[in-house]
Amino acid sequence: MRVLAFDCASSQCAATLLMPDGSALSRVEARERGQAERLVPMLTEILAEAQVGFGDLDRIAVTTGPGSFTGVRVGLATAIGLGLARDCPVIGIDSFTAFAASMRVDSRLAIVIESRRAELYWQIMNETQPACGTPPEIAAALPPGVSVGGDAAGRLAGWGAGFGITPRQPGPDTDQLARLAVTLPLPTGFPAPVYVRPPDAQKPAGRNG
Amino acid sequence: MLVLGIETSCDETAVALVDEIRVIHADLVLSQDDAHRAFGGVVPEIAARSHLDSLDRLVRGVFTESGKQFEDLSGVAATSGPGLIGGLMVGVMLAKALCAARGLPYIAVNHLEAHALTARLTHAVAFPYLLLLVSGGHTQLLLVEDVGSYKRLGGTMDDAAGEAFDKVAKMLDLGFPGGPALSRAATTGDPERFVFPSPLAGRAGCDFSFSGLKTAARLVIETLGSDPTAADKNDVAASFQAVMARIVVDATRRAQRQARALHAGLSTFVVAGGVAANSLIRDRLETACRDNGFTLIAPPPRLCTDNAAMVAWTGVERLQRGLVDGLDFAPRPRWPLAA
Repeated sequence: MRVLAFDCASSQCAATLLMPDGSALSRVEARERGQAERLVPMLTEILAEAQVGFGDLDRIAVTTGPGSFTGVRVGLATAIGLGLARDCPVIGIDSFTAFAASMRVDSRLAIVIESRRAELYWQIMNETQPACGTPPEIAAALPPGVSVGGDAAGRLAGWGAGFGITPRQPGPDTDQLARLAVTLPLPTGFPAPVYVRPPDAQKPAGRNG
Repeated sequence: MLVLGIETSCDETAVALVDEIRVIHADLVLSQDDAHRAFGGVVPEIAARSHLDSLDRLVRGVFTESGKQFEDLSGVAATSGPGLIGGLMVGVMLAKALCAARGLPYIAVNHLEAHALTARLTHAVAFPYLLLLVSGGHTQLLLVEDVGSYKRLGGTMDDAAGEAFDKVAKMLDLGFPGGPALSRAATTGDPERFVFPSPLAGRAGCDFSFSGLKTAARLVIETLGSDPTAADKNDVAASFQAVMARIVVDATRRAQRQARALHAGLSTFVVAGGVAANSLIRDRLETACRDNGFTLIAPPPRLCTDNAAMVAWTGVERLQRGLVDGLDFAPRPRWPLAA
């Protein structure tokens, strides 16, 4: 199976082409901006290097967030465009699952994701739902012995001692993302974004509906 | 030559297929009005989310409706600015992905250029011509010399004309959408009851200013008390509309003379944008055109508001001239058409 996986919902622009023999070709660029310029050229470069056409892909995998709202949409709009043009299934993997798949830990795992705001996105894998919280709120809610990963894990430093912070990764490992996508069932439509936080919009005071 | 056009720069998600012999094979527009109405204006983050939610359906829709396939395309054009960055990002990335996956040229379309070239899609107008773009988002007088070649003769220094109509309609509580409601109210009002200032009147240039007029309207409405009668409101609407028409048409007359000075044979005047549907402004523009020896061309309303047929057509025009863009193109929230 040939899988093209990419992520720009986090602080990177990264992509992997996974080949049927299990070999993989990856590019990773740490960047918080400019994914809109880099992503599509990066994907065409990887495919050209592997001499694989977009029509040869069996699956496309993309992170669906949470993360930067713009980054989430850059990745998803690109994945949907590729899927439409080549009638190729697109598998969305939320960024908590994508970060978790990048880590090799046996203990309970929490993922904390950067929001560039006071409240971070966080989830205890297989236990809680995705949520927003400040570093002290998240630290207080973490059970003892849990390992903390994700690009904002370091922001919990100093807020508690009962958990272990793993070294910072700017984003999920797209090689692991591609391998995970192989094991997932085929979806019926295109994946939806996972924003976790609603849009910042206030209804004007005194107006109806 | 068949081009797929995508428009996501504000609160309309639109996709169309247009060819070089001016056939619109499909033209779908999805308005987000309902999603934004409660907030009293377009919320950028809501707009961006809505574009992503519906764009794939519209792309499939134009192929289904036209019976065309990806194999039939010569290129993909997307509005790449100016506009709201979140929405532009969705359209640009999806378009670039289609191009990468199909080996097609990508055409980054300036939204204003798409409005400017619409008359060539609908009326096969030849260059050069004078364009008045007058809508909720833009008020500009442009000399259109060729694809990619524009001279700005004048433009608004503050609000767009349509924005001024909408805001005064809101002050008068005339309903939504405001512009057409205000013109309806004006039909039975007295246009001479209230005197509004004409900002920039007597100036030589072709610029517009509407914000002082808006303030004047608020002050007039305040003198009518907390519960003005329908007749009072109609008089305000008629007086306001009369001065708007005078400002727009006076600047147009000056621009017609300037355009003629630059291109002796120039005789085509194109009006585009939602405000062009206002019948008083349209009548006065027709008079100005007759006086100055211009032919007035107005594309149909559906193609004057935001749509993707104009984007696809601009893609056709640019592709015919070899004007294509790289897949590293980043959307431009600010992108003036002419200096």
